[in-house]
Amino acid sequence: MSRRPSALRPWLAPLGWLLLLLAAVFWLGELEALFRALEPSARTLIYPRASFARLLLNHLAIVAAAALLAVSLGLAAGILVTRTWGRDFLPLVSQVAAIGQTFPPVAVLALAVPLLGFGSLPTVFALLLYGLLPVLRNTLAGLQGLPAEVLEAARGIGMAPLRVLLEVELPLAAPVILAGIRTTLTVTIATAAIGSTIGASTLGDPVIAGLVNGNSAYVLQGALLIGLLAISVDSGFDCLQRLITVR
Amino acid sequence: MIELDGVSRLFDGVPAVEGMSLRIERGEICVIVGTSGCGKSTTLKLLNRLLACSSGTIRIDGQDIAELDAERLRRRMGYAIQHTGLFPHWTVARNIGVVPRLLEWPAPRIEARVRELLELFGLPYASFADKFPSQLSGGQAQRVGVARALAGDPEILLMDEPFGALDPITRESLQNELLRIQARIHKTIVFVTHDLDEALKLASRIVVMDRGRIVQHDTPSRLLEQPANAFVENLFGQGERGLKRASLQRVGACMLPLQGAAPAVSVGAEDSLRQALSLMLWHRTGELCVRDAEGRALGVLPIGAVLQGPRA
Repeated sequence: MSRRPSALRPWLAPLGWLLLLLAAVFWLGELEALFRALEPSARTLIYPRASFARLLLNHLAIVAAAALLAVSLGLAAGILVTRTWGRDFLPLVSQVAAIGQTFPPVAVLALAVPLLGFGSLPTVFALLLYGLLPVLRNTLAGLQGLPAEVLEAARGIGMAPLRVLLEVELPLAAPVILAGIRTTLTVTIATAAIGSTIGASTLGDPVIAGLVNGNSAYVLQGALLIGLLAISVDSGFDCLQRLITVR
Repeated sequence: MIELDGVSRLFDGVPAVEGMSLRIERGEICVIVGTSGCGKSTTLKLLNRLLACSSGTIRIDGQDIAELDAERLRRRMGYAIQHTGLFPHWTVARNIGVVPRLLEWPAPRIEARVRELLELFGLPYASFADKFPSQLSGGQAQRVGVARALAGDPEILLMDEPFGALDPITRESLQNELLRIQARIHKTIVFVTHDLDEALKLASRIVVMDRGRIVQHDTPSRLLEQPANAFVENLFGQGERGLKRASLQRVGACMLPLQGAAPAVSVGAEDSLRQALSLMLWHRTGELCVRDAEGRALGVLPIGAVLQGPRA
């Protein structure tokens, strides 16, 4: 229940972070003097090979693709295995998701390259595997943690199964599921940077280039942008979560 | 009318309900009692097909329920359960209106129905309609739970220990409300409880179950007077049987005509003999004045009349 006068207030924090991110993308180049203090001997101080805006957009596209896939797959799998007819697959699905999470993304990248080649595709694949577990785990926890008497009542008064799912189960589990999506997104944003090691163009480019060339100014620029992006999205979700749990 | 004909239900080969045959007449309150795990809740869930019968048939007004659409069947039966099962993310009004919405009633009719039910349960529409279940007390939530069960105007009301989690005072006032409302709406009610005083108070007839089978099916007073076996006798509290029977009998049915001055201590004509006895013990008197709800003296109740019981 949002009250009119303060409807915008909760969004101030994510909006602030977003502005900070945009400011960094467009004006980081103006801060050469500052980076000079960090790396007095370097020839170039601002990452030159692509604009930060370009890198941010690429990064976002990869994250969006991976997160969209991970969320839809995780949500669908979580719903399927909590139905009476899908319950047999519950152990299998949670194991697969757990393996996906424990497998280091770098290793997935290394294994994916021979299959999918270099670039964005293997990166999306690795991120998808890595991001699957949080959504799935929270979908399962959210749906399985619902009070038994509420579900019994829903069926007992004559709601059809799909209706129970859409009108009762998902709305009640939404805060927990949303928390899972939030984790998936933040993890994906941070991990997408390693895609730069196999030729995907992301905000990880300056970081990798900086590490290779020993230029900590590049590293700092990449890290700063990735951090700001992650915080912006995370704080946006924070608001969203609070909005739907207010009662 | 509900008929169970040789109904059994097994869980992993173990019978929870076995060979159950029962007839529940239209408009009666049939209370199923028994110890935990005797199959009473299972029986209720067989009636609205939350569980399927392993064998046997259940008929409602002559129609086999196995042939009906399960969801449609459930919408014809109110269902109230112990922890209310109210939807926590919906307002009271939306909770009560859920079955009418499933039945696709027009919106104005749903609203009128919700209003009517809230008033029936003594919950003013203006202050309760927009509340969420978490803002209600236990008794209010349970009233809303029963109101939701009644909302679709079902022929049959299934109640699974609906007052089990309430404190004794709230429980008693809800029992009285149920009786008051039933006197107006005449639903067929199947009520499961393990509280025997509740059963004696509410039931037209009581079904006593033990290990999945019916031990006795009878009116409350006959259960007390002619228990079928030691189990029933035990269940209905050997030592307290006299008091339990007294609680079923009305003062009005035992009183004598008033002669001379009215005794100082009064009892209501609708009160039970048990309450009258308690008053006598408390005030150390052998005689009570019987009054109606308006306070008019109707007669006198000497202790001898209590011992004799209702006069035919």
